[in-house]
Amino acid sequence: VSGFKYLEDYEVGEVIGTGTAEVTAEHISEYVRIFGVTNPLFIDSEFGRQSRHASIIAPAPFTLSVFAVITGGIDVNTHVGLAGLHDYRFSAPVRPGDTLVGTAQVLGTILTSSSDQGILRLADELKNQRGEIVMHGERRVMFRRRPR
Amino acid sequence: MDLVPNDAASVIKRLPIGIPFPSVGRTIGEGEFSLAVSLIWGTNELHANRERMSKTQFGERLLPGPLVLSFVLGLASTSRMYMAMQDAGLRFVALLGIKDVRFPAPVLPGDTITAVVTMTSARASNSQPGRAVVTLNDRATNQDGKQVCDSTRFAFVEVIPNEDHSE
Repeated sequence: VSGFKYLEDYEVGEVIGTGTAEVTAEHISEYVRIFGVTNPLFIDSEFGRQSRHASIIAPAPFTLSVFAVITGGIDVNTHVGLAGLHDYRFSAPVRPGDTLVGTAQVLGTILTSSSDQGILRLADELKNQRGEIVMHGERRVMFRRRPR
Repeated sequence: MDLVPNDAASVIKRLPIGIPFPSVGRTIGEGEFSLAVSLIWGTNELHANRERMSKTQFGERLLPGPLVLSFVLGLASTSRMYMAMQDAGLRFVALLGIKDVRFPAPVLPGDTITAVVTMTSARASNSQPGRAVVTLNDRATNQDGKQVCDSTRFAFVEVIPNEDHSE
């Protein structure tokens, strides 16, 4: 018997990860350069200042990437990979200077035709320092099942 | 000077719905892979430990899903979709959400990926004049033609005011 945490070991309602991160203009700027994002919403401070957001904002996949890391907490021994994202909403803009707090909570599991792996359904939620939800949705992560 | 109607309903009629717009291709070499993973403090061994991953079904480190999506949306911005939207008279305000995101095959160091963006629908906002919601499908394939990402996003867009067309 190993100490690994398999799909069956996650309980509905369990918070598998929680964490916090501050968003900086430098981090957004590095991100847009690496991924080749060219929309002025994310790269042009002057455009940002005059926009409805009053500043540049973070691209949604940036927010998603930061969230996935700060809520980590996944057993790498049984984690197979990300299967998908289901109905993800970006309900408020993320701006430089924001401090984000994320939680990932177990919704349930989906068994597939595979006998050795299945899907863990997670309710993801990310809030800013004012308590506004900036991102929420369901993430589906593939895990190994307990060997029989 | 000809006045082109620029209310949201008229602009929507000029949108290229159903037409696929390909991006350029991009090789996610060791450099890009490491930079991207480091940028998000990616210490998970799935993404950071080649030795360990060489013994798995994948044989190599996997690019984290959120970063696959990041590359795909970055590539999408090299397609002519955004110019086509601008030509129709619309610009992006915000990404509202994504759904049905799947990663049917992994992205490994050295892979070359290309995206195709297709606008699948557009509707004018009832409550906010001059604004609309468009739905875009983003699909990416690797060098072997295998699909590595399939995603649907909803974006909030607005009509570009006439004075901004001045140049």
